[in-house]
Amino acid sequence: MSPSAGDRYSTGATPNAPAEQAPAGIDLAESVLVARFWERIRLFATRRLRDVASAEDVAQETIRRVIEALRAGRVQDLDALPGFVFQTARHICLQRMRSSGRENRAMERMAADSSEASEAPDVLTALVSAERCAAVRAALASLDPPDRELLELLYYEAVDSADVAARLGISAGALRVRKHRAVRRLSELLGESVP
Amino acid sequence: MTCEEILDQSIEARYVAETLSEEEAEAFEAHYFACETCWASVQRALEVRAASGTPVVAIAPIRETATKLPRRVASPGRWAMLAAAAVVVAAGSWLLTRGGGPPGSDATTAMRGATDTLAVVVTMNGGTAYVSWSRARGASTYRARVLNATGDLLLAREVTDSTVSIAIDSIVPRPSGALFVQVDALDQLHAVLARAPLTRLAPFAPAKSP
Repeated sequence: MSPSAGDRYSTGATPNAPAEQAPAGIDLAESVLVARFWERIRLFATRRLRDVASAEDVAQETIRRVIEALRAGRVQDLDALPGFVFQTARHICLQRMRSSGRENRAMERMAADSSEASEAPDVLTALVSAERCAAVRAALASLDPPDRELLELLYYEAVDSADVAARLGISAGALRVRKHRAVRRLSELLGESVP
Repeated sequence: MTCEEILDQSIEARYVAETLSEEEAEAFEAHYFACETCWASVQRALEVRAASGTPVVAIAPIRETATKLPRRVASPGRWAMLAAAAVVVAAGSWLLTRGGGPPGSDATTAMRGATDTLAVVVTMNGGTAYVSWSRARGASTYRARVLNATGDLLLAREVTDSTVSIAIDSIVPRPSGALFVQVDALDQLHAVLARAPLTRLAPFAPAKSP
């Protein structure tokens, strides 16, 4: 769900930038940033803030601040960029969590009153679109049963990898290999390459 | 945290299941911001997790709204009392449904021995649905599914408790039209032991602050 750079957020004019430095180059940088980091920030923020809409706000704000920092020359080494994006997103999440802390606690109390036990919703899987789910579901169904069962044990039932290996009667190394093959086959079925 | 460690321990699996400590989770996050391989790995883990646990049995298209006239069936008495007590709690609007599902529906007859029903209570608060249900004997887990009016599965959660909260606003793409929740009690083999009738997730104005 990566938005196009142009319409998602305003980048604003840098105060001293001459008019001749056309936005074209900056828009490209923004597109690259969005493409590379948007989904990462979204997952990162959803885990902390427990809702996707807030996570997308964080992603927008993070990209905006990172671009500002790039233009101001505050990120010299591009190798440090992922770390910089990470720290920026983390900072924004912390700010939000602090300010909404009181609100969240009240909601939690209300939820606890109205249900037998509180349960953290599986909000991370909500990040996967219905269409993507359907595509992956179909691909899983086409996998050989042992491959499918292995991936479901690990990722759906969240059985510890050591226990999965024990259950299947194989070594940890053999499990790694099998998992890699199963993921590769799944990717092929989805028409994608494995990096 | 290195790629080696991540591969060896399937860290991405524990991350999406949220069983890592906060420190471990953050270390993994710092890693996947920089590493394409591990980023692809966690995306795949999340997708498999999201796509798994869906019914093998096709859900019959839903052509009518959920709430039917309640039928007298063997009632879990304690649940009825709890539900009645809960109604007086001013926490939003309550939608209480009981009774059996539509007789002869494809979905019902496709399940082996699914004669028991679950009672379901739904509270809507803003964009979140709080769903609670009666427990079923022999159940290992409960699965709550959000469906649209044509029976498409939008979201599924499987839990061991008898309650779940679902952020409706987080369903993407945003669904239009009526939404329903269906709760199944599952045994260890994921066979359906009991099923609650489809319950409409009615939009509701946010509760007034006390």
